[in-house]
Amino acid sequence: MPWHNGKKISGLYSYGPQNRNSFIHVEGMGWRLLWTDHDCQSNAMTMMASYARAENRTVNLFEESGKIKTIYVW
Amino acid sequence: MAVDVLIIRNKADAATVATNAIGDGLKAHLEAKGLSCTDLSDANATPENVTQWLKASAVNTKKLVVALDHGSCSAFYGEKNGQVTAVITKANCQDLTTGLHVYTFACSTNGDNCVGPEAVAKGCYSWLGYVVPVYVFTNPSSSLFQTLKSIIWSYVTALAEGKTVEQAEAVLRAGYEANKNKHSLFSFNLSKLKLRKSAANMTINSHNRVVVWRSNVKVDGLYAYGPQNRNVFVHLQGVGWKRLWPALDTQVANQLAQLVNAKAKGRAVTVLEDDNRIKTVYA
Repeated sequence: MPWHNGKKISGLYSYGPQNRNSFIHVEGMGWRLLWTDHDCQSNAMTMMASYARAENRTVNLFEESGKIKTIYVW
Repeated sequence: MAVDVLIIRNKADAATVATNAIGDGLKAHLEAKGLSCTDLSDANATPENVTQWLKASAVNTKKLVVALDHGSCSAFYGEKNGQVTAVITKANCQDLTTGLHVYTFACSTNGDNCVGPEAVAKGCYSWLGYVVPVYVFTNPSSSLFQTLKSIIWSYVTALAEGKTVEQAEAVLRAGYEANKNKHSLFSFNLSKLKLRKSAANMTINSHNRVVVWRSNVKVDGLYAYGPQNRNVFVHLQGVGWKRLWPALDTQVANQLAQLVNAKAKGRAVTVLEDDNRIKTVYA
């Protein structure tokens, strides 16, 4: 089931020396890497996830190959 | 798919064989200037096609109508089944021209109390046309016809290059003026030319159907798609999903940061939307 809806983000991780290394911890799922194809998208998804964690917002996530491909934040 | 410019040019009688020929090559010319274009020529210049391309609800035409056909005080004409047929009238001009600029080489549409001023009063941004019947050379091979064609094109070219409607009008008038000694048609048409407009200093890029200010709206959703660069959208309450301007990584990030902050604090924002993309943010 690639869509995970109505989730909460309970943690954030990044590793400085590796480009686009940004993870989110999804409650009930564990750590997932944000999609790594583009600087801009890694940045944008991190920003959205950070906001969702800070404000306890609900997210919908599409997962593929263990990575978050699409994110909705409400 | 929506286009920037709609050309309407029937070919139903001797006069419109000539006005149709004025439009030959115009589509390619505008596309070379970076404008997408649909050319409703000859049998395609039907009321149904014109309505489909111009009705406000569809936004199939975004910026400009170039109309090369018969006109009268009450209507601009296309054709149906080989017969000259009204396509833009006083009755439908609000729906078909609101939010657009209209340029006609046709008789009489821009006279007092005619379809041109009616359209501008009802939301058409500008209507450039003629206040009485005007004239065309009927031999497309003649040098006079080619001169007239280049003059008619000069207004459209100026708009395509980003000039204001006033600047483009000046170019058109200068073209007629420069050639008035060649034939009385040029000075006559020039004397009957009129620009009607709803505001000053508009261009087809600053004022059209897809440039919209959204004032005091809330951000209630965020979206990003990882595999496509700069694919970031925000949902504006009561409006819908709009993409952040995708030209630069930094600007996508900057706009997103501003809008995320606004969402977090429940603050209203004002944005300039251009063709479903957020070009400017006040947060």
